[in-house]
Amino acid sequence: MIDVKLESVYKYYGTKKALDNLSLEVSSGEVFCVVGPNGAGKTTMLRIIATLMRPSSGNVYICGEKIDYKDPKNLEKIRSMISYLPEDADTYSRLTGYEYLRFFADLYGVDPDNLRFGIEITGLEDDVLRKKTGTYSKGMRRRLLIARTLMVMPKIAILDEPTSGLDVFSAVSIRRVVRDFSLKMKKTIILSTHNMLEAQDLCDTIALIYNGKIIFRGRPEEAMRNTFSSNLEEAFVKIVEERRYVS
Amino acid sequence: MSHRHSLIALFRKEFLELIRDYRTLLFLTLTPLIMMPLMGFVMTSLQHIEYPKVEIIIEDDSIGVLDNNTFTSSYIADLLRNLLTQRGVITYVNTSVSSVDLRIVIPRGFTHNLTSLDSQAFLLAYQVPGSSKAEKAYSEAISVINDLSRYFSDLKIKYLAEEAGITNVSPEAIRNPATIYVAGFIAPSGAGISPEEAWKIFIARLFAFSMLFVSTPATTYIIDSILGEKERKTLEILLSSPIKRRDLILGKVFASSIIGLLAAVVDVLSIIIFFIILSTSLGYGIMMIVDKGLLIVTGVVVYLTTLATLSLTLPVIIRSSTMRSAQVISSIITIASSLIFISVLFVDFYSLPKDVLYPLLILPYTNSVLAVQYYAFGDIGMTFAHITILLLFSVALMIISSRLINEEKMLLKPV
Repeated sequence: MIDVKLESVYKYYGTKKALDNLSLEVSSGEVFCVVGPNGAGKTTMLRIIATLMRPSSGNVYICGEKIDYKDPKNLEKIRSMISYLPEDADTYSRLTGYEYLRFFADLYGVDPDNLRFGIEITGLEDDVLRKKTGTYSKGMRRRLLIARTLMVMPKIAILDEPTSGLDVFSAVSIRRVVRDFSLKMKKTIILSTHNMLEAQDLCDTIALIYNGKIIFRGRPEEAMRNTFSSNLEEAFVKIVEERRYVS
Repeated sequence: MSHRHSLIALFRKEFLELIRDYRTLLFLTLTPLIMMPLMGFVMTSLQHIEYPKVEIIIEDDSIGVLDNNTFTSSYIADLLRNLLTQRGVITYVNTSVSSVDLRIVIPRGFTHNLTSLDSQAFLLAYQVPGSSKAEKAYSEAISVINDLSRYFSDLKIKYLAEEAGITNVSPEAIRNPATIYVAGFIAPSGAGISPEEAWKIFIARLFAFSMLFVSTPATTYIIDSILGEKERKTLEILLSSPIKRRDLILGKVFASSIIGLLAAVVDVLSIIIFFIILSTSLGYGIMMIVDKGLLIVTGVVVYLTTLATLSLTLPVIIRSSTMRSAQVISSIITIASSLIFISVLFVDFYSLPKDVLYPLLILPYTNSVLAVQYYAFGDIGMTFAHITILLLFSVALMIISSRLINEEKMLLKPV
């Protein structure tokens, strides 16, 4: 079953083309990774899927339902199936960890079991969760944000560079949480990253975006095999350079 | 997720953030609590410690005789000095002083003319321009000269009556054959009102003026509540959640209106403090001049004025989504509200011509003023009508705002 489908999507910011005839399908339960250089269009694509932006043209389908960006009811329905974590998102600094999770649990109508699951995901002690999130380290706040995203049990979780700017330990811990969630809950996860190790480690499928177009889509090992590379980073560089040469 | 739950969740979150924003709360409560009593202090105490100085110069050496009484210019000068001193004016006679607000010159022939039956006597006044102390000194001098003039007028009338052999004479009846005095008070409708109700009308005017302090904290908080989410990088998550846009607006406005409620309470408190200072200085008890019903109506109007201010600011914040433009608009709204709330001290809005009043009713603040003033006049129907307009105004703008939300614009424009 296809959970996310983008059909000939274009997106312009003024005259600048951010997405160029982009088509894509993400299967249910898949961990789908979007990689690409800065400004390639990754965040724009994720925001369009998260209903925060409208494509200039083209269609987007979530779990078979076409997004009608002009219909508030349709948008509310789509949003209830999605949980989105933006790259530079932060928590409400004046709320405690518990209050933060409870707010979103109430907003999404999450049951107490899932709220407990969210608390568990944070990996934070009870006394820490009772403190205002403004006192947390960046890694702690990121864990809280991940917990918020996953505890609502979305059909599709969208994570925009979830480990960006984190130290190795925090990044590994968050990757573990995402992997466990994916294995246990069998939910669809779309994540963007610059970290090829992360992509290789977590993802079933990767899509390489360059200048608003998908220039490769397949399994990580496929990318390496096709480019005779020993790792995904090398494969990524080769694919982009080849593209530059062609264009 | 039910509509009610998401609205309560958002309201609860906003409320928690609000009550933990100690700086805003401090600003909100301290401004009126300091400003209103300070105004009371300025209006009462400061003017008493401002003593104007008057210098009296005698150039006259004439002597006046009236009914076998002899008067000299020194006598007149001393009389003026005593009367002025009684009125809190520091007065010097023929003494050179370094600083003076008003100089009164007794010119040659003054005393003679003052006591004659065929000439008018003139004093010459020289006033420091643009000085409130000089204005006060001149005003006191006029009162004192009027007393002096009345005294000599009485002497002249009695003298002439004696000469004419008339015994039953009232100098006042000859001097002012017709006069007018305030016999009571009436409402604009023409109905008679008691002195207490007259006080209430005066107080209502001051209550309406006190709403001057309401709009700034409300607009500050709503800007922070919406654009602050973007600045603090929490907006994108909130917008991607399934919360209805209407609930988003309602939750933020009602949480911000808590500020309004708090402002209303602090406002009324500060006014009570103001009147304690004012009434104490006038020698009245506080309950003589504060009406409980008026306090309640003012509280309701202040809350609705806050709600209207928030609703007025919302569409602009949502569409512009930049902190700077939102602050400019909030300043314009504050200025518009200030124009109405300050002018209420001088303008009777209820008696303005229709072609002037009706355009002004577009502003919610005109309705706030009218609701309070009509209540003071006992016109409950008009009070209710203006309160309803305020409420409808807020609801209409909130609905418009929820339709104006454009996630993409809000996310892409710089804060």
